Amino acid sequence: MAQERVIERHVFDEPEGRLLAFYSATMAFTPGGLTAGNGWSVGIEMSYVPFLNEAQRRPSLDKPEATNLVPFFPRPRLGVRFAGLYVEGSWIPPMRVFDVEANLLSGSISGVGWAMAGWHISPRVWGATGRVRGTITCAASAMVGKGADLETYYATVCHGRESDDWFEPRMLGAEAIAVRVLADGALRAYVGAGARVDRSRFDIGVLTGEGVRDPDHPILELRATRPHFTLGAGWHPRGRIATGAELFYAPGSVLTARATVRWSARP
Amino acid sequence: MRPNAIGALLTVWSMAAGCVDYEGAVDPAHGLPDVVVAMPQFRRDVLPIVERRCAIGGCHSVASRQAQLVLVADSAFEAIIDQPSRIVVGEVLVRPGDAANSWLAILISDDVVRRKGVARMPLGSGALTPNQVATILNWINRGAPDD
Repeated sequence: MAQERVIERHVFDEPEGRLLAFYSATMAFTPGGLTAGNGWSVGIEMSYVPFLNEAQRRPSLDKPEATNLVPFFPRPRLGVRFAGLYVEGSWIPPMRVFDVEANLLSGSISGVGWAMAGWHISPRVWGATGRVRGTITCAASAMVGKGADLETYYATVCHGRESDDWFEPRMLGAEAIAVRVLADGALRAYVGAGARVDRSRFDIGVLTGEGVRDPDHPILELRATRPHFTLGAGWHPRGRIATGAELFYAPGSVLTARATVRWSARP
Repeated sequence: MRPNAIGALLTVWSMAAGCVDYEGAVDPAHGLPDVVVAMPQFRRDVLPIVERRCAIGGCHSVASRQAQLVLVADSAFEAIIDQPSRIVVGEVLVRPGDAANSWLAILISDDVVRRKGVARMPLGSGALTPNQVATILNWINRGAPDD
């Protein structure tokens, strides 16, 4: 009988949980610098992924994993306003960028909200899921020629093959976004606070000599509900092009930045 | 200022502010006791180290059995006592009462020469702490009983 994969569940405060939460946080589907546009709009968001040092890449003090694969995380965004709601979606098709292949789906709905003391406050819910594939656990570049221990590890535990590891973000988030309109409507500054339920997984994809996943390695799953905060602004003076930037802070995980450029069907 | 310039400035400012908000784990004992046990017992003091550090997926689990060695709780004792090494001919994993000539003790040590070119164990992760190593040596030297 085939060996079943073990799912190892980790809370946020464990080293594995911290590493999982870091990467899922970088993929949270926040406004990304722009608040709701008019009619249809398409845009591209670029998110910064800070590199981890060696200690931060050591879950449970095992060897440092080769996780620093992508310094930037690009994400197309498609939005539409109707019936007082602003619905936004994103799909990253499976393309190889840097050393990873991402296939990610995200979506959000922003509600009508209410005005208060010069601010407009809207509820927003979002989700993100999919798969990012890369060589993390068994990377020849990080092991071969890096000392006898790592070479032996690569030859034995890794079966002499590069791994096919999968990171799978699985998040649902909710937040309140407070928007202040300035400069005759050209500038929209916002702050946001919310939380996300995070069940993201890392599937350790050590490949056997036959090229199939070695079932002796577990799937790691995060079990956490974490807060997050956003601070951003969108600049949309005239015409159809708008730009925006956002600081995203997930306490205990990452402070990162996002920038977005968007084209709207209606000025 | 043009909108694109503002956007570029915001982006540069934001990128400069990005950082990781946690420290790496610093627990060389891997959550295990980090004290020398003078009179160690196998199940109380040695087996927890073996299970946590050796009998893991990809290494000395039932499925992977690297070096044909399974170190899970049910079979670890029989697998090491007076058993030959499958890697280096003539070596015995645990010689009761003789830690200095037990291959298991040599493998977890920093002595590259005595390891005969074999990688230190546990492989690819942090070494056992000096206290954990001393506990295992003490157990071997007291006759490696199954207690």
